[in-house]
Amino acid sequence: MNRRHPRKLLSLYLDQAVSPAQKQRVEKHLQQCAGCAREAASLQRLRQEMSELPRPPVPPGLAARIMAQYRSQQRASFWGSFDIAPRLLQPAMVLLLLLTMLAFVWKGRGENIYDQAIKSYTAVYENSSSWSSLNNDEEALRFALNHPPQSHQERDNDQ
Amino acid sequence: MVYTDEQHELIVAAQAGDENALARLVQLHASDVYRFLLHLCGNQALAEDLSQETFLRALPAIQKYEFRAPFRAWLFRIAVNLLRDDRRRVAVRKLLGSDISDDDYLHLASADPPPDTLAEKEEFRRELNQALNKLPLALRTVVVMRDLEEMSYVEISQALGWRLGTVKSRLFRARQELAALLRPYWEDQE
Repeated sequence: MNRRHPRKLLSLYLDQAVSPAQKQRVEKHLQQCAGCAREAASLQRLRQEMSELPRPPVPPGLAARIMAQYRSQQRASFWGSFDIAPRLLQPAMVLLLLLTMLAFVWKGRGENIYDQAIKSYTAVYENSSSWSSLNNDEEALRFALNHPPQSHQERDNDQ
Repeated sequence: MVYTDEQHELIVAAQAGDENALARLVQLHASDVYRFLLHLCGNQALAEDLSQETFLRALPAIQKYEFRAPFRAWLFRIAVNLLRDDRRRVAVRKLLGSDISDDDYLHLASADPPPDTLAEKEEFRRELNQALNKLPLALRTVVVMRDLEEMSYVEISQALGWRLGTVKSRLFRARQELAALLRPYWEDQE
């Protein structure tokens, strides 16, 4: 800072950001120095003009547009976090559908009426020695047809 | 705009993921950010683009805001950084330099032809804006923050990450250079 011309203090002086001692020094100097007084007047005028600049109008709907963009960015970044999803989603869905259909077909195949009959007859005749001597499902089915299971009533009568 | 308790609560809510709070913060600050950028770049379209970009950067990063500076100062800092990045691009440099057309200052013009005194005022404002645009970005920023946005030295220091002494000396330089640029105009008038 130039001790004779406190020019750097002028800006602070105009903003009232100087100490009382500095203020006194600046004011005393301005009374004596035409150059600094001119400069202070220019800075003061500038400051005044700046503060009087009109507040420019803001484009209508600016805040709404910002929020709309933000939401769209958030949606994009959500899908971005599953980077492969948009590309593979459709084939994956098709594959899943096919697998589900296959599983149903397989399950249906495993539980057809023939298997269910064998399963039921096994439950009925499992204690019979003739049943355990049968070699395959076909023999088991023939045996079951020739030996219809007794009803509860007949069983009770036998006893 | 004053840093109020209402904003503190809003910011906390926004940080917790409340989108309504985010929208309210945008409503409160969008105009300030736009005007600030418009004073810095002098171009309405660019100011609007950069305002949007400022919020698109700020909102997802709101959890990083630590209440060390007013929220507005935090936004201004992002805006200045974006403007600085933008200036580096050749196309934008054209807009920020001497090739700025008068259309860019339409925001200063009235709808009706003003009387003589008002016309002079308008003319001076045009001169002032052109002078502002001749300043380096750092000086332009500090003088706009202080004299147009009425931010304190401390707020400017927090917003720009400069030491207080740097803020004071750059503000002095900015005002000095502006006054020097405007002096011929003032002398013509006198």
